[in-house]
Amino acid sequence: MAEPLTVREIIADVFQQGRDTLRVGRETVYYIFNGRRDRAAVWEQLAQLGNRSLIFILVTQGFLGAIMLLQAGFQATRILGDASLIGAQAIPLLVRQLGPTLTAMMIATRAGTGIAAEIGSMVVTEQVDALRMCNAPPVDHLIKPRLLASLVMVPVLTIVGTAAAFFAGMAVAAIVFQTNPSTYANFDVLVGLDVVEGLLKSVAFGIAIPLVAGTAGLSAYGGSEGVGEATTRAVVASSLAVIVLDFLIGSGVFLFR
Amino acid sequence: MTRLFARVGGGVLWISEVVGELTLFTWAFFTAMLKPRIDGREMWRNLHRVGVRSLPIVMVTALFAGGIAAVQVSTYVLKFRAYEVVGWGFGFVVFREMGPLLVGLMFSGRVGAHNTAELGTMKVTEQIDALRILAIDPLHYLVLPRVISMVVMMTLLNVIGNVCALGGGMLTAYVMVGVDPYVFWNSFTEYVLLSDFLNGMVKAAAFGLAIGLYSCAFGMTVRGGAAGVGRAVNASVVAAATGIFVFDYIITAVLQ
Amino acid sequence: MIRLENVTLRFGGVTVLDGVTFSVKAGETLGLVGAGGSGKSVVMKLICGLIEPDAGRIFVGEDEVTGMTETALMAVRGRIGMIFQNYALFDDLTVGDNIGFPLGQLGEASPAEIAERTARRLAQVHLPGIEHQYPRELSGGMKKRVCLARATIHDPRIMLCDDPTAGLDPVTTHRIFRLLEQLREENSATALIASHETVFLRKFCDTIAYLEEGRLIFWGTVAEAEESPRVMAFMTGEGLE
Repeated sequence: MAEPLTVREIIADVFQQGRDTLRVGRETVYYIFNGRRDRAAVWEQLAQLGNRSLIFILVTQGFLGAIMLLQAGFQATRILGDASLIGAQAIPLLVRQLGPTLTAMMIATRAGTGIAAEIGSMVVTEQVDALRMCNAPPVDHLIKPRLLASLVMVPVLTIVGTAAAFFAGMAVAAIVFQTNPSTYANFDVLVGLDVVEGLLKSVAFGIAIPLVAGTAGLSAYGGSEGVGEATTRAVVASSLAVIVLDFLIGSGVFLFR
Repeated sequence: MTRLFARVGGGVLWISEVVGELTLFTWAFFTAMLKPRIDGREMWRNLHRVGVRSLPIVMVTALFAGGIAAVQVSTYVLKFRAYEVVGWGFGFVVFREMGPLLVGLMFSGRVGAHNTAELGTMKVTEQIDALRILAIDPLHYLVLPRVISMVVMMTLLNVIGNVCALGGGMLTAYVMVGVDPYVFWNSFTEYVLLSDFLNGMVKAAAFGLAIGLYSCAFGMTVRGGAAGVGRAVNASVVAAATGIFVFDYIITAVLQ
Repeated sequence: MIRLENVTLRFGGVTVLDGVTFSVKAGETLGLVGAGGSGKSVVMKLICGLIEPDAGRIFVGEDEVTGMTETALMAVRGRIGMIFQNYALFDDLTVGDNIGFPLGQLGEASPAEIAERTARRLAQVHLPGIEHQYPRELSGGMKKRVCLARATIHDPRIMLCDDPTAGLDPVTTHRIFRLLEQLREENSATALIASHETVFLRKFCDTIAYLEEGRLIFWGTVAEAEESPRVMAFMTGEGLE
């Protein structure tokens, strides 16, 4: 299938993907209540998601925290002459915005491509057809466990990632700006609403990523080329979904304040 | 207990193998750049494809990123009632960090992943071997044009992205917080420095290099059919994302 | 038992099947022949409702398959066993789990019973005791035999075989066809076989259907096929002059 390159084709393609994802979402919800109980599959997905992404998240979020503190510190030193407030200002931003969003984008990258690649290669090797022949609906068998696992794991990983960023920031504050860790760890500015915003976002991301990536995988077509194309579509679509959801939830909470 | 050690040891070995392969590839790339033999048509074709392929997604991402940045900056601004500073805060954050970072991550997903998939499929269907038999060096013919176009395009897209983010941010600030677009624009042009902009551009170029190198490296070393291509794409975007964060840190620290 | 009426399918601008009409009587074996891309795999997938035709109707037994919902199709598929061109064995399940999978899904048999039937089928396909291995550890011929075992574990009355011997050496090919014969006897099954092994098909099938670029050029008994120059030209590989 040729890549859509005219504006009309791109918009049509995006809408089609969106519709397909919503349909898969509806089916998944149906199967959560009416499908087979397969706890083993959910545990396996939980383990895979956690295992595979953990180090990646720790590393990237660690660097994120360091970068954030560097920027904030340099600016604070330049403008205010002193960097003692950067912890207090940075922490809420980390909790409600950068932590959830960038962790989710990393998960979209790591797990999203993984899901699309696995499901995609099953499609092109006719394993998904075989599932349907054996009356195991692919959405029930493949997508549902991943969604349930993601619903739990993404918030957990977000907390882990945010913590990693926090500690990395603490190190930078101490080493580069000679800020005492206890000065840095100033949670006064952090409001309950920040935490709510962060959690809300991570749950939304946890639902969106496996649905978008899984739908992309199921629509793979045509051998190894099809798997590659589905994987690409998965990472782009799930990253975009994260950004859009971030904007919507962030704006919503902002208006609520 | 030994199994745990075996797993950790295996993981370390695997990472060293990957890092080793990437380093060798990077070395080969820069050596080739000393005396490049670039096919003009391939170069042009890649520039065109990379640009066209990523433009829409970058513009959309940047719009939303601008919106997000505006919302976040506005929270601080509301607290201190400093409406005039929104433009500056926004420009600073977007030009230096959010712009290149989000555009980079999106670019990696859109172009990097696709590149790995393409090269991977070529490897699996033995097209790369076919090139070698025709006495064409795949490094010069395939890789150089791709990496160069990614660096060029990332910098261009960063500029376009900045503009879109500006638009998205201005609109969001106006709608959500009631910041007058003129005030926004004035504060933006008044306080945002050229160095902020250039800082972002350097990052964008570096990200483009990382994405280009890693996506090609993983694509060219695919093993194992359709599933192997999927795995390579996975590894490639992970490596690119890690590289982006590491380079971001280094550049931030150095360019102060 | 199986009936296609005027079935047409288009895909991406190409007409894959064009007004195809034929049927297979209960207990009969039909051989589906034709060049690559002539639509053979598609016919199989249409019969089990994996794809919908653009026009025409398809019947399995008394039921019309066209337009059936996935839930309704489940009952139909319970009566069909399908051998896929590329084995379609589940990579992350053991051989034993792969073979027992359809029974587990149908929910009729206990785990002990499933294990017993799996062992019996494996013995039948001359692969005793490999329940704990994974598909990636097996050779092509072994995978095909496991696929056969999985396709027939639930004793289906209808067997659809999409190129069951592709890429296998002559001895293994012979074995596979003998096994198909055996399994067919067991259930007095109706069978549809798409294959390029024209020598075997002539011995094995009752009727032949010949597709050329999506159109049904010939449908009749093997004896009648042997009288038709066009069909024989394809089957013997000599081509029309």
